[in-house]
Amino acid sequence: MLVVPATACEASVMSTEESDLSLVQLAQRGDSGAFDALVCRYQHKVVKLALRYVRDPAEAEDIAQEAFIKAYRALPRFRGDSAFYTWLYRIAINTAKNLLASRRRSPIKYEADRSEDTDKNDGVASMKDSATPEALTLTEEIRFIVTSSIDALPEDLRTTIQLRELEGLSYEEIAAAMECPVGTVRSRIFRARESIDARLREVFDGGLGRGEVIV
Amino acid sequence: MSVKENEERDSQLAAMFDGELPQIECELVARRLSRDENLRRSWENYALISAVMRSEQMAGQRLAPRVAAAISNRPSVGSASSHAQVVQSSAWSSWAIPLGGAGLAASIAVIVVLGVSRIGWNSSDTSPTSLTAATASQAQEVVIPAAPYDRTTVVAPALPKDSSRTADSARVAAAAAPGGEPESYVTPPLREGSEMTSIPPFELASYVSAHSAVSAPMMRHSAISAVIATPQQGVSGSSMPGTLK
Repeated sequence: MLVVPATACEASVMSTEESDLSLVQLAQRGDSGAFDALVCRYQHKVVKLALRYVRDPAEAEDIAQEAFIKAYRALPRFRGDSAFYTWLYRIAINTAKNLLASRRRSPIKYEADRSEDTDKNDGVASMKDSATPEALTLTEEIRFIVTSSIDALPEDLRTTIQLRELEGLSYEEIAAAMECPVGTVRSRIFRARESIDARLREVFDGGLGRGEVIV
Repeated sequence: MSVKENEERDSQLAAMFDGELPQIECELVARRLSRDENLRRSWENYALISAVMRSEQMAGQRLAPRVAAAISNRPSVGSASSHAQVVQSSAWSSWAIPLGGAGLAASIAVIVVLGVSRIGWNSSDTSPTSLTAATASQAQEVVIPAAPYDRTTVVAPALPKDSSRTADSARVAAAAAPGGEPESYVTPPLREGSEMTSIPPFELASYVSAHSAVSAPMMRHSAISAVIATPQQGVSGSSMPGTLK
């Protein structure tokens, strides 16, 4: 039986903050590839956040895009007092609120500043209200590819990636829970992701274009 | 690069994604990540896998290329866009300030017309001297912002219920300057022996024009002309409270 420590998420957030900092520092020196990596990492979270304010997914993406552009332009003033995502989060919220103010529109049923952890499925629910049938089909297709790839993983890899993604455990905590070395956890997580990544690449390269497909 | 080295590199990438890589290694992987498009694609897929597993919302399109294109298309801070904003701002102020001045002048004209219309011009003792002595119990005060450094107070008397005008009921007081001298008056001199029921339009226009320093000449002229051109119902009509007959 696995024992999940209560402080797992906190430990994870602190480490992620440090890893972001390396990319942020490169981006501050004008490295656009580093900023690109930050966008890749947080695009889903920012879109999800924007969907609390607007119903239309395309509009949420526009807000996310604008938030990233604002973040890029304000990057020289980011001093690392807070985590990069905390800083980006505020920019995204302000961007969404400004959009609403300019359109004299009230936020839809989602509250603006409630805890991110309490509404994991809300963004998906709002998307289902407004997305096109084609977009929903593609979303389901992507979800199917990922979940089927996870199901196809060997048990130890599957459990490890689930503990990491679903429970938010650190490598050390996973190692303690699974009674294996931290290096083994790191290797398992890498191999699990590599397997799913390879499957996604096959599908995308085979015609499921990323620019149009993923919702 | 051997397969083992590739594996090690990708293993570091996965660990960095989870925030499980030592800081010094993070810096090395971050540099690789910023240069290697293929590595960034894996990184992007890691984020996608994470979003799917957590049933989170996924971005509909790849935002990174859109953001990169938008950033490269936009001029940098302090260049053309900033200059355009400044130009736009000054263009806005160039018409907003005169318009505000014209609005102020129009307001003054309306208040003067309404306030002075309550004053009896046909009273025998309505001299400029007596106009300054209105009592508080009889007065309705209208404060007119005339200029940044002073203000003019027009005191229009409340009429008795029978609307009969007496000599004492029509008074206008000007706010006194600190030295005790009135700064300005809103009443033109009364012509002796004449019975006036309204302000002469020409005098009213001259007064407002002379005392509205902040208004734009063209707009001020238009506003005053509009006031003058209005039929003087409010001045001489019997239905208006405080109106003279």
